[in-house]
Parts: sequence; structure tokens; C-alpha cells
Amino acid sequence: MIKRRPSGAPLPEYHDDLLVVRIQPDLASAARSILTTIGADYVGAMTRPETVAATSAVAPALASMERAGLVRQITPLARQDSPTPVPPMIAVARSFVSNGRRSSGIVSGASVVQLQPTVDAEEAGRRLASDPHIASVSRVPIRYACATKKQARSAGAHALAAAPAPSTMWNLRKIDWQRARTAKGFAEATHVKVAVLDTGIDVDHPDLKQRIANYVFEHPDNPSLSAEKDIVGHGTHVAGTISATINNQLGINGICQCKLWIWKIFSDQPELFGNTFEYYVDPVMYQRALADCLDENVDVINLSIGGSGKPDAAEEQLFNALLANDTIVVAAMGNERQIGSPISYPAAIQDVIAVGATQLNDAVANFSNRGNHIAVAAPGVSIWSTLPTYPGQFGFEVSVDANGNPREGKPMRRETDYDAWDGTSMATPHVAAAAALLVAKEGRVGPIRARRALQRSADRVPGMNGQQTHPDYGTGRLNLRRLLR
Amino acid sequence: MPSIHFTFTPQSTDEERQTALGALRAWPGVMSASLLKPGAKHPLTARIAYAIVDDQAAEIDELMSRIRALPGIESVSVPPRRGLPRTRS
Repeated sequence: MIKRRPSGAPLPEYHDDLLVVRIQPDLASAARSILTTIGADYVGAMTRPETVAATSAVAPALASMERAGLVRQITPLARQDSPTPVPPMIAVARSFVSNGRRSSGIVSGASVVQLQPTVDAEEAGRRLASDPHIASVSRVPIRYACATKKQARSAGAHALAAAPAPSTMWNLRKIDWQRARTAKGFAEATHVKVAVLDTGIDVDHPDLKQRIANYVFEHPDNPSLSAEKDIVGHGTHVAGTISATINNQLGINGICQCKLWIWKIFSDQPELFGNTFEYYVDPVMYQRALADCLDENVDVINLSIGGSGKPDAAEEQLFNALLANDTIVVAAMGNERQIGSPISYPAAIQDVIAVGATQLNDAVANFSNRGNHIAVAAPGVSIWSTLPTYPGQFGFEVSVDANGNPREGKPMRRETDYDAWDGTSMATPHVAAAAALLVAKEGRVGPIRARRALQRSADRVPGMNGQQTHPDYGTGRLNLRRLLR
Repeated sequence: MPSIHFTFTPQSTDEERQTALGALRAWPGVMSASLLKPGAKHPLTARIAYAIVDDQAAEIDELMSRIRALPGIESVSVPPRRGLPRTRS
């Protein structure tokens, strides 16, 4: 989905000061015995000769480097009970233990070693690798991430939440939201699980916090790759369209009041893309989230993401299983109309409900991809919704360091609290929320029936020129009232 | 980080899966290897796994071949890149 552009100067490949060091697994019991004998008084214990000897036995090369002042910090990859700093060699011993239990095989014995700035990481790596107590040493590759959207009008400033005037919520009027909600037989989606796999969510947003049933934001292997904050704000915006609290005299109204199950699937580390650093989906977090959706039996999944690469075997298997389990999956068509509407996945996966974007006059938005797999269209221009209450950015402009290498420059700030955004990403949650209300009314109807109901009830728009289906609109623009009738 | 995703066959035993993951972790270029969702409820999610690898493309191809050769492997792939739909404003 993202147009490739030639990049500038080559990226730095590795962090200058970081190494991942894994201790031989057969030293696990020795390491644990160190922790047992030392107790909680780490600093005091480190002065005892027996402790020095014991920790040195676990990884002599690392211990000698630490004593020589070449090591700045050691952080076990296994999740720890408390973030309290401990002496480096105790950290190595703790790398075999996670939250007081034996750590999982993936991270057991592994630590990130931060070297002093003057130390040559390659040389230090060779020295450590020659230690028979160390199983492996590797450099830490640099990873970067991606942006969309308008920059904040007052970069960096945090304005008080400004509720958009009701007249600006053209999208709700267009889908006949008010009449749908007051119609006979309307059922609120209170017990419907809607998953949003995106850039995360602001869990404290006053218009959203009552709706969030679950939020998973950590990378399963490496918590440092992804924190709780929704930096980009995209996920918070999508979630607001689906389920911002209705009629609370604050901000916007969501389309339904479902339970939001949020998975953050983007890394917090931006990657170079042309002349910007942007955020991308982490494939492990993404597929883990799909697996969670299957296990948690969610009803509807919103995927305002895309990419032109066909699904790999695991992604395909996960989608097949979700669809077979009657989960309704709704995905964005993509915003690359001006470069020929390349096919974007997951929208183009069979039985996924692909959504295009329309504007106020029901014409297709000039960025919305066309394609025969489109199911329906929905409002996707100037859509007001929630944004995190804290500052963030879509990415960074590129600047160049003293060696001519690109690095993150000026951040491309977004607004806070609320803003109007464009995109098929914004159209998609309209349809996901409509599907949630359909499930609330008729039960778990599954993706085929949901698609058919959405398509049959859509409003034919002038741009379709009388055709029943059209590559810009599918069968038309979403009409919530007719869907729930 | 680059990752290779692979699926064990439905017939593979838990022991075979753990043995394969253990072997993978010892290979050069592999930073970690794990089931996608340890303790998964669904039979499919219990047999999808991944390895996080360093970003030498040649090594990734070689690692994929080696994973394919492990017993009990059904499919091996590198996931395609996914991101936010790019907007015009």
C-alpha cells in the first residue's frame, strides 16, 4: 500500500553501543544460585568476595569488561519483577529469571549489554564471543517506523479538548445514524467484541476509557519495542469512530457502544521511508494479535492497515481460521488511487469486507483505491474523531548526522484530543461499527451474511452510474438505518 | 526486526515443536524463536511459530531453507510489510 521511493543515504544498520549477549543455558542453575545467596541487598553483596567469584564464573569475559568500566548497563530480556537497577553481573544472573519464575526459552539467559560510548562494539563482541560461557553475541539492528496525516496546527502545543460542532459530524448524518439508533428493534452492541489492530489507544481519553475492555501493547519478545502510548494516534482515531461514548456532552459520538479490544501492532521504532521516518506494523505483534482474536472469539476486527505484499502462509491461515469462525473482518482499500490503486492486503483477502472512502457529496475520495474486491464505501474525508490527549507524531523528517547518515529529525506532530482526518482508514471503522450493531441485532452472522447485508442495504450513489456494483464504491455507501431495518 | 514465520504440521507433537525451536535458537543469525502464542486455545494458533533474525538477507534465505528441512514443518515464510494506508494530506 505504501509507494516505494528511493531512499537517501544508507541507514546505520546497528546500534553503536548495544550487544545482545546470551549466556550458555547450562549456567542457568549457577546463575539462580547466585541470586539465592545474594538476597535483596545487591549493592552490599557485590562487595563480598564470594559474590564477585560467583558472578565471574557465569561469564568471565563480561565480568572482566564490567570491572574495567567498559559496560554501562545490562538489561535482561526476560521481564523482571521490578525495574530497580541492579549491578551488571546481577542483571546477567537475573536474565535466567522472569518475574520470579524461570524465564521462557526465547529470552532465558539473554541480556542487552550497553557499552560505554568509547568502546568499540565489534571488538567487544569478538571478545565476548570467545568466552565459552557465552552462547551467542549479536549486534542490535536499528529499526525505524511511518506517518500519515496533517501536522498539528500548533506543533507540540496541547490544546484543551475541543469538541467538534455537531454540524461537522457529516459522516453520521450521511449513514443515517440517528434514525438507525431510534428505530424499532435497535440493539446496542454493548456485548459485542470489536477488535482494533492498530497503533494503540489512549486509555485515558475521556471519550473512550469506558469502552476499552482489553488493551495489549507489548511485543511478546521485546517489551522495549512497544510501549502503551499511541504515538501516531491512528488507532485512537479509529476507535473513536467505532465507539466513542455517546451523548456524554464531550467530544464526538461513536457509532456504537461496543466493547473495544485493542491490540497495538506497530513498533515504536520508526523506519526510513523515502524522506521521512515512519512507523510500520511489527509482523510478530500483528500475527499474535490475529491469534489472540481467534482465541478470544472476537466478533468484528477493524484493520485500517495495508500493504501490497500477498499474505504469507501464517497470515493466510490465521485469516482463514478467523473467517471460518464467523469473525467479521473489515479492512481499508488503501489510499493510493493516484498511483494506480495497487491491490492492498488484507483488504483483498477473500471474504474480508473491503471499504473505500467517500466525501460529503457521496463521490469517491480522490485517494481511495478502486478495485473489484471492494464491498462498500463509507465516509472517509474530514472525519472528526478522538486523538490521544498527549502529544505525538506521525513520524520524523530526515536529517543527516556528521557522517552523512540519515537520522530522525524534526517530528511531524499531530493534534491532540480531537481532529478531522482523511483516509480509507477512517471509512473502515464506520463499517466495522455497523457490523457490530448487526451482530448485536441478529447474532453472530458471520462474514458472508454480514457482507451481503451491508451490500444490500448500501445507498447507490450517483458516481455508480446506475451500476449494481462499481470498483469505486462496491454496492454503494453505507446506510446504517437500512442495514438494521 | 525481520522475522521468519513458520507453521508446524497438525500431526507434529509438542516435543517435536520444542525440539525444533530449541535447535533454531542455537543457529547463527537467530535472535529468538518461539511459538506465536504459547498456551494458545485454538489448534492453529498453537502451531504457528516465528524466529526473529538479524537482517542479513542472504542468511534469511538460508535460514528459511534450514527451517523447511526440520521435521514437522508445514510452511515457512517471511511476512510482507504492512503499514498505515498512506494519506494525501
